[in-house]
Amino acid sequence: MRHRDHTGVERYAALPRPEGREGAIEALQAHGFPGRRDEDWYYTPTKRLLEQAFTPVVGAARSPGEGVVLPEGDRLVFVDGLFHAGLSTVHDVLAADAPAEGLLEAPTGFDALNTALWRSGARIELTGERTTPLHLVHVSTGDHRLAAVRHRLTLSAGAKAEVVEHYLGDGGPALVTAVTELQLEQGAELEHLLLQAADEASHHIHTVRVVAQAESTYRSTSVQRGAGLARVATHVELLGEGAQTQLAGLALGRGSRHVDHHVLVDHAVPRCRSEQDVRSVLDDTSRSVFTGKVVVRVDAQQSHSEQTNHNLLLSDDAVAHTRPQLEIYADDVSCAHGATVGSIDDESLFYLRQRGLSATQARGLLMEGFARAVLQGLPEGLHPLAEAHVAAWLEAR
Amino acid sequence: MLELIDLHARVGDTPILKGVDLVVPKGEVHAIMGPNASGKSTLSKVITGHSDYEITQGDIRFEGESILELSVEERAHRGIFMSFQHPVEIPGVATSVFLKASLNAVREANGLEPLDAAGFLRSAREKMKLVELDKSLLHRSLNEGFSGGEKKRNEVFQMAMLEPKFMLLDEPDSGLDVDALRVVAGGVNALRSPERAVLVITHYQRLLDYLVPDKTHVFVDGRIVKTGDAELAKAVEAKGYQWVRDEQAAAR
Repeated sequence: MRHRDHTGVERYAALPRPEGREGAIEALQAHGFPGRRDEDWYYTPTKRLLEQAFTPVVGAARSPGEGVVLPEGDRLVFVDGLFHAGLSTVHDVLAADAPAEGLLEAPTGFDALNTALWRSGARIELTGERTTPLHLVHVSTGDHRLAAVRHRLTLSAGAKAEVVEHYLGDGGPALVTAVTELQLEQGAELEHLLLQAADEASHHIHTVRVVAQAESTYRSTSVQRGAGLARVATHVELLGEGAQTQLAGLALGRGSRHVDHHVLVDHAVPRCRSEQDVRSVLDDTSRSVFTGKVVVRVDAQQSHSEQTNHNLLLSDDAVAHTRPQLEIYADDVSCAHGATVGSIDDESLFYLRQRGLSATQARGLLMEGFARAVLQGLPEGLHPLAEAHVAAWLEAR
Repeated sequence: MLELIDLHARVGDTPILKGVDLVVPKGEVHAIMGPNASGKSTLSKVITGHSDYEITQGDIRFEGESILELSVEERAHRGIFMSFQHPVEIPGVATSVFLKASLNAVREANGLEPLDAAGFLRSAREKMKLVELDKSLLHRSLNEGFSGGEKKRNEVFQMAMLEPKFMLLDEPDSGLDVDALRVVAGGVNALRSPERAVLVITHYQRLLDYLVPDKTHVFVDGRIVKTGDAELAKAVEAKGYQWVRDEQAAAR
């Protein structure tokens, strides 16, 4: 609300947009984009992003280049934010004239921009036990294009599903703003994997909103590695008793990249569980921010919450910011958190070298182990995908 | 096989090894006993090339050649293996992944072909039996959540896989009950051969009932002050280290 950055706001307000989005534009004009004086964005360098002019593609989606490999199976493909029917095997999409419902409470400028400009997204009600994952594939073709997507997925009572969001770059500067709204009805279970490997010249701003009803389970694993600036904000509301969430995140930084994992878990009712394990591996001058906020409301007795944030710095110039925030109003709760920032452990290095590995091999193995620990909880079907995503980063060193 | 010649080493400005002379010929088992803070763990780290220690005088020879200029891994490639007192836990790295990389690094350095996955697994399963480890351990992260006994048995298992010439055991008995001790000592005994040598560093004589040394050295204040046979270990256990110190003082 206060002290925000209005750079570019009027230009975005003047862009063509679908009907009925005035409210979002007005919100953007009133609030502006978050800036340095906004506590939750203090460490996030948005200036360069805001100074560039990104423009949405209107009309038909382009086809990505041959270098883009699409996952097999059930998939919806979005190119520069537009649904690409020809490349997709599932066609349940949100029409651009859908009402602008779900304007986020306390939206950030980027969420408001997304609400104003999105033209496409998946809208799917998932029922029963799905045996294969659903892939939401996003490709940016660069050229200062702005991609805005808005997904809305509902898991009906007792449903079980796996959803993988892929964010790929096909060259050059781009801005991707994505909002994924997830509704988990009673007893539903969702395994959500976010794999971002966009172009270094691109910016990736993703908001995930989860509403979890009684006895439901939301598990997510985010692996961020490509975009120059990436921010994933995950907001989970545990609204029904016995709901639980496990949030894993991995920021892989190289060059001057910046990765944010911003987590808010709201324990609104008794007997819910939340776990967070967010890590970063940072080389060169890369930076990461972890903000992990857990709110336990006054009635949310017997809440259980654990949070860890471990950061491995491979270079003296890399920086990890860690911001655990606990707001606990109930008294019968167990909440733990811990954070570490460090470099490769000398004793571990000595141990591995004593077994014959070179210092380079030993460092590589320790780094891999640190990063891969985040993937340990993934189900068998998704593990290889995430594994390959991490391996691609490790091998490029 | 291993010769330490008037070896002096320090950490920062603090001298720790103050003139160690020791010869361990191949085929023999030597034990070093010493009180806490005598420098005996430093000795193992200096032999393996840990960078925290600076050699200020003397030499370490392995198979007749000085190894002072060799890195930690180069010494390992020559066939020096140290079983750690506190094996490091490495989350996220499966024991099998680590050990295959390690084995192939040593093989490559010695001009041997790398072992393929099937050959590795066959050999690993065989050698885990030696120290009664379950094969499920191969898929677990290296030493993570292992009990004290499992960690020590895992050290001996790795040693069996890497087939070193020189086995340096740094307090392999610490934290073990008598059954685990027997298993660990049994594993080491199985690896003894006329071509290999063992140097075991320990506080307690108990281990030496199972791993009987050809020679026992008493290590006090950075030096070997007395050398004898297996009976010396028993005398130290019975009378304590003060007896050796007093004897030293009297001799001066």
